[in-house]
Amino acid sequence: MFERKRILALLMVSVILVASLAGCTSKPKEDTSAPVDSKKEYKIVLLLPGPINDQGWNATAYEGLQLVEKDLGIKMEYIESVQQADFEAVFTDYGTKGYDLVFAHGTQFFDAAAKVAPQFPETFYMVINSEEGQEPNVGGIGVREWEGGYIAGIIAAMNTESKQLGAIGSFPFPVIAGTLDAFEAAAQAHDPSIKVTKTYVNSWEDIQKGKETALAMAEAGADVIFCSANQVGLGSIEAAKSKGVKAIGYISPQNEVAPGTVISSVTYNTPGLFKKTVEQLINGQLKAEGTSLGWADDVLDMQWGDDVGQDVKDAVNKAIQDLKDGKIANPYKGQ
Amino acid sequence: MDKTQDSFDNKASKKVIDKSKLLTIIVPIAAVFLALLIGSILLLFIEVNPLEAYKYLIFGNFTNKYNIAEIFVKATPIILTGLSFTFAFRTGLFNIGGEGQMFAGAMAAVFVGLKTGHLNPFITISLSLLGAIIAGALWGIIPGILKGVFGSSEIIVTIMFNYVALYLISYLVDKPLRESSGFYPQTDLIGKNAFLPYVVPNTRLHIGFVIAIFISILVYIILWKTPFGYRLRAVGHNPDGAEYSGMNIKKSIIISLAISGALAGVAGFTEINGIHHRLLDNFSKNVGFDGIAAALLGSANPLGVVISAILLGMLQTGANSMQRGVGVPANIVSIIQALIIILVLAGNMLRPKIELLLNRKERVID
Amino acid sequence: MKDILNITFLIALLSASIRLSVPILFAALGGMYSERSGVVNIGLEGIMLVGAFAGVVGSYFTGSYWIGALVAVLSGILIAALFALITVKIKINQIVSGVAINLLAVGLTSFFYRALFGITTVPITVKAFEPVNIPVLSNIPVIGEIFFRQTILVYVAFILVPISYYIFYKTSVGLSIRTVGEHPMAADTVGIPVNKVRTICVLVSGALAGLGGCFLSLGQFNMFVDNMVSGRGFIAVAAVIFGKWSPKGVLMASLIFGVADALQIRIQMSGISIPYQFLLMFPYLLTVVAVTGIVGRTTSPKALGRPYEK
Repeated sequence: MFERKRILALLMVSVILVASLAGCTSKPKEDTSAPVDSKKEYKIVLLLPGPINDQGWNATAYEGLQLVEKDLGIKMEYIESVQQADFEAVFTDYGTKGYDLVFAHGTQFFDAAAKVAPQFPETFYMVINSEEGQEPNVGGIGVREWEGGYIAGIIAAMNTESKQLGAIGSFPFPVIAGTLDAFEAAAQAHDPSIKVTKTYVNSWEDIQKGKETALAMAEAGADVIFCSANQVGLGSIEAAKSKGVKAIGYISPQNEVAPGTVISSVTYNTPGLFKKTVEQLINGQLKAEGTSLGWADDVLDMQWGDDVGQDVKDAVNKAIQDLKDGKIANPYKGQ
Repeated sequence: MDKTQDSFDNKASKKVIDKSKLLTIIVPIAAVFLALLIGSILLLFIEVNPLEAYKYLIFGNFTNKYNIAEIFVKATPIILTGLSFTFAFRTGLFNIGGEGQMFAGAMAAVFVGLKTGHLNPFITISLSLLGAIIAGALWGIIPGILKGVFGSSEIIVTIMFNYVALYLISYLVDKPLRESSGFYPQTDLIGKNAFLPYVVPNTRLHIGFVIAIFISILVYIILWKTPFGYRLRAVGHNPDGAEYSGMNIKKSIIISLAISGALAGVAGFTEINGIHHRLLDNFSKNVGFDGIAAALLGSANPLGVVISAILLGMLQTGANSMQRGVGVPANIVSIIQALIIILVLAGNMLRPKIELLLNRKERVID
Repeated sequence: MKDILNITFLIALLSASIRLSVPILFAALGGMYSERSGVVNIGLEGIMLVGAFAGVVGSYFTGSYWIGALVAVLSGILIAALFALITVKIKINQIVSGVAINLLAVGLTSFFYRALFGITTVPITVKAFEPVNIPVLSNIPVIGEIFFRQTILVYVAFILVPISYYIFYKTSVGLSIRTVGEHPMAADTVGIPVNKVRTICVLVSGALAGLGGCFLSLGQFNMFVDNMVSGRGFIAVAAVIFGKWSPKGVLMASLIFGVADALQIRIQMSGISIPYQFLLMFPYLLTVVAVTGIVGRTTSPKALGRPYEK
């Protein structure tokens, strides 16, 4: 008995909602009242796969947003934690609303972008960390993260006494695995007797795991730890500190996290990428192609610690030059 | 005398019934309102206008054809997992494993889709559906057998199996079934012919929704219009009585959980063949639990489940709209969603008590 | 592989196992109280997260990690109170309520973290627990290193086990709890306030889960990171069941899961490639086996999961 009433109620609730929609369907307001201005109001949005305070991938994108606002005076919107199932819907939404530029922060967005973009030729979709593009309005900015891992490997190799290094990655994706492989290759290029232990914690956030993994590495003899796993890196730095070994910071400038423990940090100028792309938008220079960027394009940078020897800096600078000149090949071994 | 007494009684009982009807509408709306009120405190805190935000939450769904279709896209798997919970519930069991059973169905659907996706669409889609049904039934029957044979709580086993299925998928997309480019942990796309056709062009609404509706009718018929269903429900109402009258309880439990699992398995089919077209980590998050919420809201009745699932779909698309329209951070969105679900369910449970309270007041006044 | 038999390796392994098992132990002990009285608490994960966050907030504003721990316990109780209201008083399905609590916790912790601390590149750090060497005992070879050089919270967790044992099996309070979980109607007839007992047990589960979360943020680190609990609350749910709802069993279960975790890290490091997903499945499969009763008898509290109506 109650069930029927309940169902009736639910039906009426839905009817009421639908009825009010008939009365209040609000189409997005066309801003026809604004005077035609020479400084166009750009509508730009940033789609993030995770939260902005993850101290890693998504945080750098948020910094990009802040940089664009500061240097170019353009306010970008952002959406966090976009689920894969919603990619297409979100892209469609912004296309329908006539946005100028949609940043999608992560290669996983590419397929959905490629599918939706043709319907909205006025909107440009830029996928970060994708090396593909698609005419006429999908572009990709790929970052050669392995080049960062390579430099980290050199620094670690020149600072180890035990000749054992530890490298921690989040998931064995090609990007991460490539970074760890490059770390290893660089260390062994410097000194073939160096042993590198590589392992994956399979998480972006489990810092206790990161700490325990780094502890185990230190206990097994590693005296420099490197981690490419967003927040998990913080756990590894903490472990290095407690064991009195060293660490290399990555992506964000992490020297201040544990001064004395973190030798230096390899940082990413991802914020700069956003600024550059927005500038391209303003100047009508957006190209629907994929690009691959590395040291040669000012995407990576060094945050040097206080006690770094000149020989280390020299070796690093030489390696950076080699990478810029294309003398070093991607050591990623694949599956 | 009698006539006036009758008419008086009629009027009084009519008042009671009307009030009851009114309450069934007012209480859920009041619950949503309360949730939004609490949410607005948080929104004001971060200087977002709650009214602006909620306009998107409620009406953001309806701005265009695509968004309206999204409601039903989101509702489809919830209908199926809701039916899954409902079926088991009606037979006296708590199947919390809808999430895992959906994953099992998805795994089967992908496997079939990868192998046969080039064949005639009718064949490959039917095979995928069949695979999903069998896989879901399997994932449900094991807890059923454990309960029948060992008496293990199905609540516990089905929850554990959710995780097993989750990690199994993670493994499959990581190694054996990983896409040929090897780039991302997901499978290749299933064959084009296995894609479910769209019901409304230029939207994502696929025939999975129609299938879900069809299945809900089927569930209704089976449970309430067949002797088989009657027996299952009898076991649910009164297991001892049913056993006394000769029904095999163990068999009943096993069959029931198998069917329940199969229903959730179909959700895997609709999500893979209709939306994602491949298997990947963490697709369709929380659909299993949304189904349980829908079943509870819908009083474990197929029609109620369908309506509740659609409402939940509206909630989700509205929440996405709100996030995009006003820039509400994802954390507030999940707070508001959790509050709405809790408060509406609470309203559900409290409504009889509220009714009693009001009736008592009325009698006193009369 | 020869490393495994090396004593230093073993000490490190067991030491790590303890650290990894403590958050599970805290939450599982809490879950045990709740489930013994008949309430399934899937919200342990969310409560742990809230505890982890609250502990950092408490320490941030007072500079004392003890106050941080206290705040963690209190906020765990607060969330649990909401959960108790929903499940015991209003009698909404316990599973859905638990999931809703988890959703709420993730949103609330993220929201308040940003509201209080803003977006920073490096998380805010606070005063936290340091490992404490128990005098005399910490000098015992091997055992001393493993057990007696941990942070205080570790000792708290372990002491709670015999305390819980005593409460459950040697006091009338414990008897009441167990009766309420097995035969609420009988308990009611004898005058035990069923819903009040359940509420209190749920609050206890909140306090302990909150403390468990605080162990992660203040006992292992000195910061809070979004989602740092990473599923330990759900493992705790499995641990309660695998431990057959008894303090000793829960301790064993937590330790086993902790050892498995510590082993898994080291196995992965050595390059032996067992797909990590199977290692992640391990606690849950183990629990299923336990529930079948093949390995020892097992009975869940009979009234588990079913609200009590007078």
